[in-house]
Amino acid sequence: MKKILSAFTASLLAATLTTGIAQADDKIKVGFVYVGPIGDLGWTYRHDIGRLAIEKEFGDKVETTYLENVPEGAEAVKSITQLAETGHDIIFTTSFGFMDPTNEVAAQYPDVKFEHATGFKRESDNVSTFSARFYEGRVIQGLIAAKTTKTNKIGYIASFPIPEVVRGINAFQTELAKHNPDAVVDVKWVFTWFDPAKEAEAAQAFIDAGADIIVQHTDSPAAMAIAEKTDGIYAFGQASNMSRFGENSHLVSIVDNWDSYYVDRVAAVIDGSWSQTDTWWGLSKDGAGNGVGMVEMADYGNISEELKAEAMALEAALRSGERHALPCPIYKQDGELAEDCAAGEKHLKDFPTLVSMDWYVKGIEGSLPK
Amino acid sequence: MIHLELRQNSNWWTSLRSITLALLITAAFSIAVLFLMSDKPADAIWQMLTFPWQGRRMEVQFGLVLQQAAYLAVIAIGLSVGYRANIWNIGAEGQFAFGSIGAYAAYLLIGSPDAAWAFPVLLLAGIIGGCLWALIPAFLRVTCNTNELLTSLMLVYVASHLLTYLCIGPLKGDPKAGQAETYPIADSVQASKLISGTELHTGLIVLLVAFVILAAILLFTLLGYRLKVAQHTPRAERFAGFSPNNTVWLSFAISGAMAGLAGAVYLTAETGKLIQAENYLENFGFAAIIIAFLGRLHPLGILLAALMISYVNVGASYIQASLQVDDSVAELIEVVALFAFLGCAVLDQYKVKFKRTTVRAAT
Repeated sequence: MKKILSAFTASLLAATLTTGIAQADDKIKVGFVYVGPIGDLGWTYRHDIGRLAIEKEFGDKVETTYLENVPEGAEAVKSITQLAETGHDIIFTTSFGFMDPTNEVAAQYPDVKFEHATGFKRESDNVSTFSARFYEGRVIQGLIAAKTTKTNKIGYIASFPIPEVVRGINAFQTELAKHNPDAVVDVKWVFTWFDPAKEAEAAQAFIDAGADIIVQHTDSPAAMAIAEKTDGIYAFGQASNMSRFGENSHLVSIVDNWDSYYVDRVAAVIDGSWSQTDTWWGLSKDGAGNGVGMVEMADYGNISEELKAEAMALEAALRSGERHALPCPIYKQDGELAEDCAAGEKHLKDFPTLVSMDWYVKGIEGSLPK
Repeated sequence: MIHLELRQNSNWWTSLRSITLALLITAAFSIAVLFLMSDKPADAIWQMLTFPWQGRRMEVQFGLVLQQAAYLAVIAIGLSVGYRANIWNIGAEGQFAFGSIGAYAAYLLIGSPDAAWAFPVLLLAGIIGGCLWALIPAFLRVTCNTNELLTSLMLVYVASHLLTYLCIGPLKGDPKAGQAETYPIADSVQASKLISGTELHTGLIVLLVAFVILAAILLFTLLGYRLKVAQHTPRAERFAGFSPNNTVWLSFAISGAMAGLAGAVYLTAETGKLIQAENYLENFGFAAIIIAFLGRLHPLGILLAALMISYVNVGASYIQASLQVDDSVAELIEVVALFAFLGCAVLDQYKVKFKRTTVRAAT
């Protein structure tokens, strides 16, 4: 006991002496604030893969820290502040609810760089925002669903009625209707991003009602697991490659790929060229086929070779920019032509249409929760 | 054999002794946990204790501690009123939410947010909102004799769904937002910062004043005495002409008002808008229950407990950022503290005696 005590006091003393020195090394410290656990197999898991890509790329030159399960809202100020206080040079905050807290903390630490995912506020020069055009992947899913469904009923599990989710639903419906006008999409709002029990329940309800394709815009593989249990039911994975949960049911997953963006941004901090940006990458970096984007299609499966070839051709066209995800003419739910199309645009514009999308396209039944 | 014997005269000395013992138990456990959870336990313990001086700016850390402590202390002292009289309001979280909703509703109604009286009106609306929501379980208890513990808890879920509903539907704000939220309130009705760069704002002064007023009432007035009587001897309460029903109404009204005030301050100072429940509520209403008991339902105790738990919480978030120690360590410490304090409180009222008194005589 005495030994342990004296060892403890000694190390305590050593700690006091070394903390000052430890902060002085010249490694670039990269911090991450995650909304979920890294083991969610979806959203946060993919951001953590991005963190590991940074470690792999820069090795000893960087040190990374992550905080998981950080609640969104005002409480996040504490977590983000602590990363800034402990000498991190660049901090990635990876959920929409961190937007106000990120901007609040950033204003106090002008020497620290902040990168906020899915937001639009950049109140000081040291805040950048980034987001992915996941809806490009929904187009491909729309095509596959149109040609795979036998019952012509498709269940769509949606999280919250926000632009990102609505864009996905509209992109899916538009392509679906093009190839199979008889197919009907039923959207169910579950008001959660991650709740395996609720997601599974929604998937089962769709199957019971005769749907044979399940689309999800939530983060857990629960819906895929439910589809796998019943013959003839297919599902699309979300956020990460979910093929291992649906050997006989997985069609394709939209995978979030933050790796190349994260590596680019940390490289910019290292060489001193970091500046404020607002990045929105799809399948490619520039929308014209160059670079690895933030959206990746993983593991086409359980479809014919012919359909697979068609899907991959569509993917290539979307990547190269030859095809836009939401080309004109696009009609709103009530049959009215979308404003952008009426104004003679070739496709829906990013600003303000896509970033604030709060209406359904023609063919979706029901209305957005109000 | 050990047995407990009722103490004839428990005084400040016996209290101090049991509190010290509880603190020691908590400290020992915390050290043990940090040894298990960190690969640099000595660093972790040292930084946990001294984190305000470890980071870049000390005032930032103290700001975070005081901010959290203020919310916890104000809600906890409100709850302690009922707990002293065996009336169990565990729904402060919902009353907090309703305080925020009340303040936001007042903001929409007043129409002139630039007026000097706008901010106080918002706070008052928060108090009323929290109070009204708390009176529902009081009403059910008085009229139908329902268990207020259950009804007050269930109303938390009703309140948080209502909050989310308002944000998705009738009060929906910026369509670009990736979460359900309302439009922000004007800058003129937001609490202003006392020290730039910290979490210290005028709202915390409001909370402090509310805390002091209620503490004075409980410690020095007849009303406070009456509630104390109700705790110890319900029959004496009746003989003295106090109605138990009135005690129910009163304690729910006070605890609801305090939680509502905290909710209004939170809206004006921290978020500036209503947000869907899971991104808005921080569990202050539930954490305050622990604070109330850690503080032994005494105003001074509650204040100290709120400061201690907030210090542990912020410290845990600091070592998570600096050493990657999971911050659930804070929750563990909190729970152990609660058990240690409740357990040691027994020593206040009872003496531990060993049965074979002959042993003592022999020495």
